[in-house]
Order: sequence, then C-alpha cells, then structure tokens
Amino acid sequence: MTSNIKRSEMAKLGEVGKANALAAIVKAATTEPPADADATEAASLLYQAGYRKGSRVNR
Amino acid sequence: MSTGKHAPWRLRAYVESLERALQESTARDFLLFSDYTISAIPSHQIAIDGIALCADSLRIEFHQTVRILGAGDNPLVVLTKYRYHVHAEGVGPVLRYDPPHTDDHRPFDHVHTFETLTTGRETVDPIWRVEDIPLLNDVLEQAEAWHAVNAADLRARRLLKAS
Repeated sequence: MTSNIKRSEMAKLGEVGKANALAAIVKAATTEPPADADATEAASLLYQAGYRKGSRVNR
Repeated sequence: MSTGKHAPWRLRAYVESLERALQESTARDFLLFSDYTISAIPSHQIAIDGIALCADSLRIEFHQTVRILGAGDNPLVVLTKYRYHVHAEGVGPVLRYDPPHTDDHRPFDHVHTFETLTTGRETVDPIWRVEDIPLLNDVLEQAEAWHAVNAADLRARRLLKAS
C-alpha cells in the first residue's frame, strides 16, 4: 500500500493519478495495523501450553 | 471547530492550495525550487514535509500534520500541527512558527523572529488567534516581504564574507 508520495512524483501524474495517490495515502493512514504477529503467536503458544498443562492436571 | 482558513478542507483541495501557494511564489520569481512529501501516519493523520529554496538563498522548511476527519477517498482534513522555519543560508534564522510545545515550555502557538542582519536577537511572540496561525502561502508572503526589504543587505553581507 502506498504510504507516501513526493511532489515531483505527483507532478508526473494526471488528475486521476493524483487523486488515486492521495486516496492510497488516506487508506494507509486509516487502515488499522494488522495485529502484532509475534504477540498473536505468543498468546497462541501460551494458550496451548496452558491447555496441555490443564490437560495433564485433569488426567 | 475552526472557521476560515483553518476550517476543514477536502484533502485534494488542501494539496491544491499548497501547490497554488508554491506556484504563485514561483511566478513572482521568489521561489526557485520546492519539494515536499505527503506521508500517511497511522491513526488517521497525514504529514506534509517540504522545503522551499528562494531568492538569495532564503530557505523555508515546512511541516504540517493534518487529521483525517471523515471517510472516503477525499476526506475532510484539518491542520493539527505545523512548523515553518525561514533561514538565510550562511547568515542565520529569520523566523520560525511553532505550535504549542508539549511540555510546559511555551504551551501556546508562537513565532520566533530574529534580527538576522544585525544583532541576531530573538523575540518570541505568542499567537492567540487561530486565524493568525499561518498556512504556507502566508509564510511565503512573509518571507518574500522580508526579502524585499533586506535583499541588498543580504547580498552585501555575502559579498563581504566571500572577499
């Protein structure tokens, strides 16, 4: 996703191209960042560890 | 919400107004070169960072942050942060507009002005009215007016330095 553009690059674009470039920047600024992959994986591992531990206790 | 020039603008109109300010200053033979970058900032903001190189080595660095208020490809935006620094290269600062600092040091909009060609003395004045917070065209005009008065001194000073 385009997150920045220079004036010199915009100057090469037509009106539609400029509008699209600005729209892409708006999209980049307003799209929520993806969840932290490492944190998600860590939470998943912790859950699995707890589950296994719990499973052992229950056995 | 602000009215007047600091009222919300559609993003495309905002960028067009920036372009118009630069083109008009170029047409008056004051601005020689300018470039800027428009960048997305997470959390619904857009930054514009640029430089303007003007006659007799006056240099303007500018920064603006606008907050995106609406939805769509061409949303309403409003200026939330800015900084304009006018500097005579090889001589010294001319003026600087700053937003409120986040610490207790000058927690209000203000402008630094310098006696660039004499003592270098700095004066800081608060800006109390929103409409007195400049946009780029205001700063270009102010720098141009300063240049009109001081260009001869500026050139003489450079000549002296070079000799």
